[in-house]
Amino acid sequence: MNTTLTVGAALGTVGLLLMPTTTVESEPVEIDWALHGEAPSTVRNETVFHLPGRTSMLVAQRNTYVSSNAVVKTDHKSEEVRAMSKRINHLRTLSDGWVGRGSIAPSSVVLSWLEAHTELLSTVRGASLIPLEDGSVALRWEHENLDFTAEVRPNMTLYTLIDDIDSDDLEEHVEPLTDQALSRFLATHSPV
Amino acid sequence: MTEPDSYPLLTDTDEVLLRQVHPDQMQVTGVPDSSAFMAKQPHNYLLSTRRAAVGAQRAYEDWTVDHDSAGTYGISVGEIDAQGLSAFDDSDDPAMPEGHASVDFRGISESQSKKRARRLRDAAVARGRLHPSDT
Repeated sequence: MNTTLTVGAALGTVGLLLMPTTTVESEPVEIDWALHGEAPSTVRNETVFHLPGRTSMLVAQRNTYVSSNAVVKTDHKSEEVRAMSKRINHLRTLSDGWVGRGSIAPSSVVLSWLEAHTELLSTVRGASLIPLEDGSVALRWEHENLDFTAEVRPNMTLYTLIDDIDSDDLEEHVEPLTDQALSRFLATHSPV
Repeated sequence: MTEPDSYPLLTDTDEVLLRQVHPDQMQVTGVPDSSAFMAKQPHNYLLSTRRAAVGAQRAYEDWTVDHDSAGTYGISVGEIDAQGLSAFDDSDDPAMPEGHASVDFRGISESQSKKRARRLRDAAVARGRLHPSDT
């Protein structure tokens, strides 16, 4: 716990009300929330603050401070979900030709589907969402000397590949893109 | 455009071909994704590289005039050969820049292309980024 007045910079006029402080480690975000009973000493993830005696909510900035007198509520969305959502939005900024003549930007159909399944995609620890030159987007990760690919394609198919890094073994599969197909592959092969 | 099969194959196994990796082809672990070392249908299954004589810095600078790059990575002709692939110099193609070479993925199944691309990526990562230098 710190004692600081720097909170005023983040929270405006209410800053002077606050004495003991706690570090906020997340970016501001609007969330659905319910009140906690008491403030934790360390605030993580998406956080809003309900100040005693006030009806308004405040959203704190990363690395600023807020009073431990404030009632703190943490969003259920994890950092992983937020990062994945941010990544999908970023992929929308790519345009045709992004990796040279003939390359195709990630398909809007693919990105919309991925966006609707952000939480599912976020369950794979350490996975990367990689755009491919044909408009597909691949979720890629390694686990126990296996390289996994789950590729969502503009023709709404799911291509999966398990590449054994230590041998010539490969296992690939193509099927219609469904929630169940992706869930099954991720559930079977995600790092625990 | 001259047919790719008429271009001279590269035979110096020590020559390191230069490949640009787009920032969005970098994995969260900080290494290039294998897709950066594989060519699919939009590129006629030919992976675009520059020859060693061009130099990693110039290859990077040429490319970043119109595109983004996380850096120049290198794969040797020997490493390409080891994957059962070939590389040829197609600098004579008017559409290609000076010192251009292509790695030929034509006729390779998709799964095999991905495995071979992953191995080329591993070789490039082991060599380290050539420009900007990591050291």
